Formats: sequence, C-alpha cells, structure tokens
Amino acid sequence: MNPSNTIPVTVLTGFLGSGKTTLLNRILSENHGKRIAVIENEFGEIGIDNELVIGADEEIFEMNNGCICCTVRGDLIRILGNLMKRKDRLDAVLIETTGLADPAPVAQTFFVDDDMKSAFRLDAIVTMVDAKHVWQHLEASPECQEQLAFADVTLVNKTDLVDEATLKSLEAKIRSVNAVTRIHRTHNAKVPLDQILDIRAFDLQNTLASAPDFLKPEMPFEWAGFYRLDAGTHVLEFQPGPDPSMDMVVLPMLDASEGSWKATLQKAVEVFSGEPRKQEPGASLFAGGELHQLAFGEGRGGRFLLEPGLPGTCGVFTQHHPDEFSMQVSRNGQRVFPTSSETFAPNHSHDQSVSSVGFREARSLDPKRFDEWLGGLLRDKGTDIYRMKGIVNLAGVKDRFVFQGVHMLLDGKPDRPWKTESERQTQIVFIGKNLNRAELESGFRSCLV
Amino acid sequence: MELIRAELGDPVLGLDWSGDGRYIAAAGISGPCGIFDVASGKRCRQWKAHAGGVLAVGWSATEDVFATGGQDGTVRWWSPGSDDPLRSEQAGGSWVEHVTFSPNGRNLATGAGKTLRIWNSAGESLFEFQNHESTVSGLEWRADSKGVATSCYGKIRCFRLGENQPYEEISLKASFVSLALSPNGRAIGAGTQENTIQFFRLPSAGEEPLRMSGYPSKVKHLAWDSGARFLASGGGDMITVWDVRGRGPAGTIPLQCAGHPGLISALAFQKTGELLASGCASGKVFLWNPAKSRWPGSKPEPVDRPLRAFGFQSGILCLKWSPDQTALAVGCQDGSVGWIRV
Repeated sequence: MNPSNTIPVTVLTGFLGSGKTTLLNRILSENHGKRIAVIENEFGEIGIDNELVIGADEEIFEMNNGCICCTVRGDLIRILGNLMKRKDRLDAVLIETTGLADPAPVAQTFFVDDDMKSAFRLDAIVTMVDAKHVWQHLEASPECQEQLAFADVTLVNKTDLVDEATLKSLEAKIRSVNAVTRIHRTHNAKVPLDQILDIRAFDLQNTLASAPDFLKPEMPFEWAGFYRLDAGTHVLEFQPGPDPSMDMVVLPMLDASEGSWKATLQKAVEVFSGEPRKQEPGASLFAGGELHQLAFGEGRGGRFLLEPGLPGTCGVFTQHHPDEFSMQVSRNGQRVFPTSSETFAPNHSHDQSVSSVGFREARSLDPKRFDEWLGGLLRDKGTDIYRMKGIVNLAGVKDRFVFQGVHMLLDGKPDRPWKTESERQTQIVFIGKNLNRAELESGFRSCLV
Repeated sequence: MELIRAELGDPVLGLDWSGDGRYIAAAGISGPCGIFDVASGKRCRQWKAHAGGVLAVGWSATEDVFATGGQDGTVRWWSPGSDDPLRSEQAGGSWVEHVTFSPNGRNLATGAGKTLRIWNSAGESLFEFQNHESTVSGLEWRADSKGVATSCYGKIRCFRLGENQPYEEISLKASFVSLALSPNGRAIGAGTQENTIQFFRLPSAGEEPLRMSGYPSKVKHLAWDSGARFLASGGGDMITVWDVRGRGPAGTIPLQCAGHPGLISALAFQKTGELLASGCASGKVFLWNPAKSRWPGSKPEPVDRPLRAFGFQSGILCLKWSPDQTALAVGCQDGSVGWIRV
C-alpha cells in the first residue's frame, strides 16, 4: 500500500444537533476545488444536489477472522467500492455517522477490508460537540465519551452559546478523556478544511507536541505552581467550575532550586494521600502538611484566605487545573502570578472510566518483546482500548516504526528513518476504558532493551 | 479468434448481449449507457441512462428490450433504438445493484437495498420481498426461470415464482459478498467477507454448510459450469475450481488456475460448452477448460495454464458470453469494451 496513492477518509461523529449537517453543507457549498465524496447517514438530510453525496444504510457486519473478531460497515464497502472505480479521482471522502453511533465499525472497515485498504486510508476521526449541551451527554452517555475517545480532532461548536470559562473547562474535560485530540473551537461549524481533511492524524508527531502533559507520570494533582509570596494574608479566589469541591495543598519551600522543588513535589504526593479537611469559603488556608478540601458547593466558586506564614517561595498543588475555576491569588488587591507552574496527568481512575495513558521513552525497545506485549495487550484488552497510536524506537532498526489501531486491529509499518540519534524516542498513546496505567507501564518497561 | 475493441469512455460496470447476439449494451459507472454493433465494431448510440451512475444492465434473451439499474433508485426498460426509457420504476432501494432477466427472457429480477422485486416484460411488478436483513449482495435466476436465489448478511434465500415466502432460507453468521446458484438448482456457493466460500446443497434441511477457507482475499466472483459440476472461484490471483460431484467438494483438492498477474475480477463459464473465462485487475482475460485439465492428485499445486490469453489496457470489470456462447464481451476499468470470437 502506498499511502500517497490512497484517498484520505475523514469520519465525522457527534451527537444530533452538534452541527454535523451544517459542517457538511458548508463543505459541499464552499468553492474549494476539491472532489469530496460525502456519505451521509440519512439520505436527503443534506440539501445540496450533488452526485457525490450518497446516503448510507449503516449495515454493521460482524467478522470473525481466526483470532480477531470485529465489526465492519458493509454499506461503506459497497459504496466506496463503487467510488474507487470511478474515473475522476476523489481528493477526500467524508463519512458522517449517526448521533449515537460507535465509530469503531467505520474505522475498522479501513483496517480489515482489502479493497478499502488498497484505495483508502483512515485519515482522521473528527468528533463534533455542542459546547452548551455536551455536558449532559458527557455525564449520561457512554457513546459520547466513546466518540471523544476516538477523536483525532474535536470540534467544539456553538461557542457563541457559552462563555470563555465554560469553554476552558470543557476543553479540560475533553482532554481528560482524550489527551491527544486536537481541539478547535468553531461557530456555525466554521473550520478550515485543511484542519479536518487529509491531516494525517495518525502521525503522532504533531499531536504530541500540542499535548505533552499526559506523558508525564500520573499525580494525585493536575497542577502545581510556585509563588513568591510576601508575609501576610493573601486572597485566593475561585469562579464556578465543573466540580463542587477541589483538594489543595500549600507547602512552603526552602528555595526555588530544582532539588527543593523535587522534595516538595514528593511531600505533596504524601499529603494528598491523607484525609482531606473540609474548608468552607472564607476559611484560612495555612501553608503546611494539610490537605484542604475547598467546598465551593454545586455550581459555585469561593473566596479563601491564604496564609503563607513566612515570606518566601510556596508550592501550590491543586487536584484540578486551576483554569477550570479561574483561580486568582492576590494581595491588597494586587494580583500575584506564579513564577512558574507545571501540569500533570490527571488521575482518572476515580472519576471517569475513559481516559488516556501515554509513554515517552528515549531507550530503545526490543522488537520481539514489543511485538509480544502489544499482541497480548490487544488480545486481552482490545475491547477496552478504543484507539492507540505510536512512534516506536526499535533497537537496531534504522526506521521509525509507526502504528495506529482501533480495538484489536493494528496497522503498523516502518516509516522514514530517524533523522538524528536524539530524535529516537518512543511515544505511545492508549485511549480507552478502564485503562490501568501501572499495568500498561510495567508491560511497556519490560520491552526496554 | 478475433478481438474487437470499442469505447464507452467510462468504467464499464456491466454489459449484456441482445438475444440475437447482434448488439452489446454497456453500462458506465457515472451514468452513460452505450449500444455497440457487434458486426461492425461501431458504437451505435450512447446516452445518459441514470443520474448518478448505472450499476447493472441485463438484456432479455427473447425480447428486444433491456433494463438498467441506477444510483437514482430506478430500474429502466429500454428499446435499443431510443434514448427515452420505455418505462422507469422505483425498485425499492437507493441503489439498484442487481438487474437480471430470467433465462427465458420473460421476467426481470431487481435487487435494490433490502428489496427483491420481480417484474414481467411489460414492467409490472409481480412480486416483492423487502425483508432482507441487509442490502441484497447476490441475485441469481434458476436455470429453469422458475425462481431466484438471493444473499445478504446472514441469509441465503430461494424463491419460487408465484409463492410469497421463500421455499429455502439458510441462516449463517456470515456476510455474503457473492452468490452462485448451480444450474440444476441443487447447490449454492457463496463468498463471504471473511475470505471463505460457504457451500450448501439444496434442500439444505438444516445441514451445516461446507466451508472452504484459505483464500487470500474476499471471494467476490464465483461461476458454475453448465453441468453443475465445477464451481470456479476468485479471491486472489488464482482461480480455484471445486469439483462437487459425489461428496465433493468435501475432501477433494481443487484445481488451481495460475497465471493472472492481478486479483481475479470477473469469471464466466459458457452456458453450453466447457470454457471458463477469467479477467483480472491487471487487464488480462484468460480462457480455461477445467473439464480437460490435469487435476491435482494428492497434493494441491497450481497446475493449470490458460488455453488462451488476451490483454487489455486496464483492469477487467465484467465478462459476458454471447447467447450462442461463441463470443465473449469484456468491460474494462478505462471505459473500453471488447469482444472476442472464440
């Protein structure tokens, strides 16, 4: 298969009302000079007469090929089988799925069917969400989480209906499900075509650059900031955010050195494992070994007093990202900004089942052990792993090994050669349900040379 | 042998001969239909038969009428002399992918989406069955013109004209991508999405099918010889021919016909006579004679070489023997149409 000769396929998912039809109509009516076939989930929904608009029937076929069981979309194989014979070459294919659809059968179609593999390549899964109404789906609907988990690109649409703080916390929520999805904000589904078509989303390179946080070790807190504080009372203010409470630790530091930072970080992890103490708005929070639970109340923020004690450097550790609550520190009406800060992979196991786990490693991997580990993982955990992508540094191999997968299906191949020794880094991402980071990590580590 | 070439100019999804063998109708993927004069090699007419595209074409063996199925959801009846259809009817689904006249030329069967319809020569619907589990993937007439067989996801059915319900209904967890009913009506071969063929004897009486696996890819092309003895199958660069006499194909080693430089993309046995024609994605058309081939003994080996070979500029999409079985029409990916006198 020569990827440059294959036609890129974009899969568009999203709940009813998120704006998929608006986007499709926009693409079909824009003068972009490209031949784009659109496969809509319900015939006639798009009000544009175009022979490249084809209605699909969502026919899901179960396949059982020896050890791999999966589902494919029979109707797509038929429709695209016809389109690939046509004389005028297509520039791209866009497949819309129904609101509640599981994107897996569509994606898997391009992994298992020989005809589809020879002519097309899965370029990206794009999930559209309605910025205002997605919240209710996020809580109530596993399909919504699944669609976000699958998304290479997430379009947060109808941004005009919500404020900046809501958008920020929505983006944080989306990232907590899928750490590597590229998020674009849209209004009336306006998004440049080159952000959703032929973007080669399976190439992790750019994706990881935009979301490096989750590759870091998982911590009980998502954020840490250093503040240089004077003596005396500071004001700590929070706006309403997605959670009714947040745990927080404030620790004095010896100085701003790297060693001091590491020691404080370790101390913070210890403190977070203790029993939290509930603090109502207005309470004084003292720097020291105490786990404060800031009790905002549902849909509310709060104002607290921060008592650093002695002047000097202080580390502030928060369970959630402070941007979700627009946290502000001030003294005598003057805002105080952190001198630096760091974000960490959120610890998901407590509050949600769909999450991302990623690794970055400079040491090379043993090809045989890596193959066995990945094979076993797909066999045992394939139903829970929605997506995986990776660039792998195999010992003694000149080329990068790149792969992407959907559930039990994996498409991996040698890519271009590594450019420099220092470029030789393995980066792997898993997005799925009930992922056990520790288990994945120890499996991954066992492949290291 | 002579080879004549003509142009439709659009990938040829289907073609068929007029009952007298004087004309060939060819259907183009984006909508054109062309009529070719066999003797002169000239294209008589070409017009747009369906908006969106033509998917199938069939010519009645006994009447001067042919039918096309299109992406516009209609089946249309045409007289070879006119650009206007004699009749145009909804076939019951969005794409009309199967259009085939009964061997006696009297009735037309169409498969569109989940709907099977049978029409008389005046274009009146005689029968309809809408309860297929998914889009009809295969549709074949019985050689005696008294009924049809259909395939879809998980089911194969046989219908008799004049009866409302199928007389045979086989359930199997498999997605069928092709169907071939033996000329004596006693066996069915069906290719699946999982690179296998399922073989059934009729009546099936709940008996488990035989499963032939090991194909490198989906078996989209199947063909029976006129004696209902050989079932030829694609599903790779080789043609695999099964001998179903006696207890076969159980416990038998098939004949493997090698030499095609690309995936098999069309197969057709003569309706009388022994020749098998095959086409591949690399533009070769070969002729074989399985009845006269040296069959493998105890171990499978690709033994057979083609009797004749013809080259085309692009992939072969369809093959059709003439009514007198002496000529073979060929439709190609690049829009060319050819016919070979054998």
